Amino acid sequence: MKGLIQGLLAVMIVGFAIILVAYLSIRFSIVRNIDVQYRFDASQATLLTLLSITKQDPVIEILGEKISGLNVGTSFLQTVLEKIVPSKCFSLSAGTITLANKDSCGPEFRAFTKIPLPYSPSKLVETVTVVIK
Amino acid sequence: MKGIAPIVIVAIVAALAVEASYLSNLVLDTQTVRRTAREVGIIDSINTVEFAKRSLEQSAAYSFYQSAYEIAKGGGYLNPFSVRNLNGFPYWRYYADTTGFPSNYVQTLSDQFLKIFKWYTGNLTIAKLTIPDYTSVAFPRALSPTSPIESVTVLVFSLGKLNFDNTPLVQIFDVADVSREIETIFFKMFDNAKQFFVNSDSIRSALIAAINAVGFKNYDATTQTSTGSLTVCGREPTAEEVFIGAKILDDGLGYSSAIAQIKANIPPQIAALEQSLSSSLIDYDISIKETAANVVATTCTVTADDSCGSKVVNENLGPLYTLPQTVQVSRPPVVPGSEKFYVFHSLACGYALAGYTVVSYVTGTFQITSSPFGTGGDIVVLATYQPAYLTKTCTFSFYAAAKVTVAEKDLTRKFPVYDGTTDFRNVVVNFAVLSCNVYDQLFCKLT
Repeated sequence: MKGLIQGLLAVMIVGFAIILVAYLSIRFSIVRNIDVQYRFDASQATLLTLLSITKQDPVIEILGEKISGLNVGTSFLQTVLEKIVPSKCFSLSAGTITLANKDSCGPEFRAFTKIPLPYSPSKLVETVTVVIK
Repeated sequence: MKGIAPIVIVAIVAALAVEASYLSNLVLDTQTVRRTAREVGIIDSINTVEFAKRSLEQSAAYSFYQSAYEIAKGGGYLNPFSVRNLNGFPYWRYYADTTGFPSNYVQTLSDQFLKIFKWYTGNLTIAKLTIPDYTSVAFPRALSPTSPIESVTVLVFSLGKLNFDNTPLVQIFDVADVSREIETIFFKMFDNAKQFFVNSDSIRSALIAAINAVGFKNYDATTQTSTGSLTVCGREPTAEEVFIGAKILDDGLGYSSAIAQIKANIPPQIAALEQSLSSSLIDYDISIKETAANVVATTCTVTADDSCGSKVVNENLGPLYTLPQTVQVSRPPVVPGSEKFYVFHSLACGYALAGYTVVSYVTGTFQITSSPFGTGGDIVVLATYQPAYLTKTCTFSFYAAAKVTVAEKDLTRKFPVYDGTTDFRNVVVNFAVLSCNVYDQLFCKLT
């Protein structure tokens, strides 16, 4: 009887430990997943917000013109990104344009899309990438 | 030992309950993880569609910029060389003919827009995302009561849907129609140009002003004519003497001088027109390619009188009994072929021009076909053949013509467009006008 009880207790303790580890593992995975989702969403939302802003002309148009080599001012983009990225850690690259702020801030979350360029027979679109860190 | 048993049993039950709770949470959390993954996929899909919509809107803007620039450059035509043109500038007016105006330029713009837009959508397509075909476009204009700059909404329609197929996670169908507002005076430029050069003819007004500014003698600005007379004794005035007649009209400066004066007046008048048409929004660059001026004696009447002197040589040709009658002149004409015969009837107070009709003349002979004095009786007929006394009165018409190219430029903004290179360029509506103060190609001398 005593042995049976001891056996049951041992099984229960081991089982409890296994379930606890599995549970914690899953919980960690969930938290990490949600964090990844949040940051991924944040990176996409940042890019979507950026492309939706209008400063006289839409930013998507200003970016396209700058990529095409036209003389347009894009310095304000740095300020805009600093305002919409809470961590202030970001980089933006589109063709020849590269904007970066605070390297080595942490893990990177990348969002990208194709944007149109001013009409040219040789090239009509370019990929814009925003990395949130 | 017996006392421990209940405690152990309670502990076991409690442990089982805790484990059951953890196990239950584990299962639920696993579902949460799966749902989270699914949500990430859904949100990613939604964002991808949103990105596509932003890019389609901007593609519509670029397609409008490019097609509007091209259509304006060709004066409403994609290929202006396919119609009557002046070095690639289509004639919107060719004298009175205004059929060269591209009344279907909006349709041409639509066709070119859709062609370019299709190239963009082909390049924007990514994996899992299907962009449908776009079949039509409209450009409703919003006319502002306060701002002279118009707003045009580019509406691109599709019968299909934007489709992001991320199965098994999610499949998204979204409205594919695109709307993008653009500030432009593109359509207003065509309206203005049509008003000034097609509905009315501003160039013609400038040409009339050019003639009026010369101030010819006896000149009637309404009919664009002058009347002047020239007296030549004994013969028809020569062509050179017709010029002399013109000298009478323009105070002795002559035909050539009159033409030169008109031609000299055309550029300042057209420059004045250009100045009056240009405003802060639209600039008209009217370039004169060719001008012509012409002075033509359009109607002339010749009357006989004795203003050259009173040397009348009479010859009694005898009575006329029947008409027609051929009269033989005893003297041959001094200048064969140019001499005039006038037939007179003898009256109590002297000779008067009787209105006989001379049908034919051969040296020394002419034929009289009618007489107001009848055909019977003893009628004396006299022939005056040297000298003839002539006064020629002519009406002169004045013509001023100009062949111009018009470049109507939008000064409000520049579009990023391709024309050999990609750059910011003004939209310029190019066309040509050929006009004259009167639409008579023969006398305006420009084709």
